[in-house]
Amino acid sequence: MRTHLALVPLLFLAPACFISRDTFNEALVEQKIAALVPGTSKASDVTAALGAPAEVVQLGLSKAYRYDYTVTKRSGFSVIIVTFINTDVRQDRCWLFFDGDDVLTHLGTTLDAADAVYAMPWDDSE
Amino acid sequence: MKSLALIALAALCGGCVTFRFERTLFGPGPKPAELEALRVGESGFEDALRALGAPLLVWELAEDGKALAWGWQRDVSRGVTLSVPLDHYGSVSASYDDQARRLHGVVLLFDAGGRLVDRREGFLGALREQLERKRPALIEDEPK
Repeated sequence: MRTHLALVPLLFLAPACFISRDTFNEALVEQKIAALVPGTSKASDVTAALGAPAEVVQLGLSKAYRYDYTVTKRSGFSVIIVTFINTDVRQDRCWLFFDGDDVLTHLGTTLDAADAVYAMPWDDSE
Repeated sequence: MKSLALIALAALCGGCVTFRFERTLFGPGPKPAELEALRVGESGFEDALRALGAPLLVWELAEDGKALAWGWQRDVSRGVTLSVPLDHYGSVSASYDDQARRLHGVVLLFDAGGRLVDRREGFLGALREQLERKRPALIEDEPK
């Protein structure tokens, strides 16, 4: 009986823990990006491989396309009225730059979305 | 006096007053050594993309230059929150740009030939406001 009573405070704490995971846009596929060759690939090849960009930026006569995929991992817990929350946001991003003839000139890629972690605010998770 | 204390207690128990310890991470940003390796007047557009990866924001500068921005965030906040839900709405389409503008970061400025000409640090929203090329606005005819 005493053991059961000791468990009662735990029941108050248990429902207060949470984790959540949000994603935004489609994950970027590294192989598809690697197949795009500056100086050769055209804007139409890029959209055929990666789909519609999230953003198109006009840069004088040239332009740039942005593709991104965001993962947000949030974890926390509440003890009655005290709440601890950690939010870790990581992205895969790819920017592709084209000249005035729509030929790919440069591209930059960062693939960090898979590194998002569930942690507590005091964890050294960076 | 007793009833005031009871009301305060009720507010706390109802969950509308909470003590929060919250950390938000966005990143990671570029490593200092990677940034230092890029030299104004020497490094090029391609060097920056190779060293730092994809920027967060890209925008146009005057005289066909371009700005590339990398941002990061490491916010730790502690405090008391009083939450009173009145309304909730959001715009997914605005979220990327809005979030990026609030971040601290570094902006690299390139001339039309792709040479690094300047480097600025600060809040990306404020830096973009200062540096972005303003395109002429369309002036509509007066209705007849």
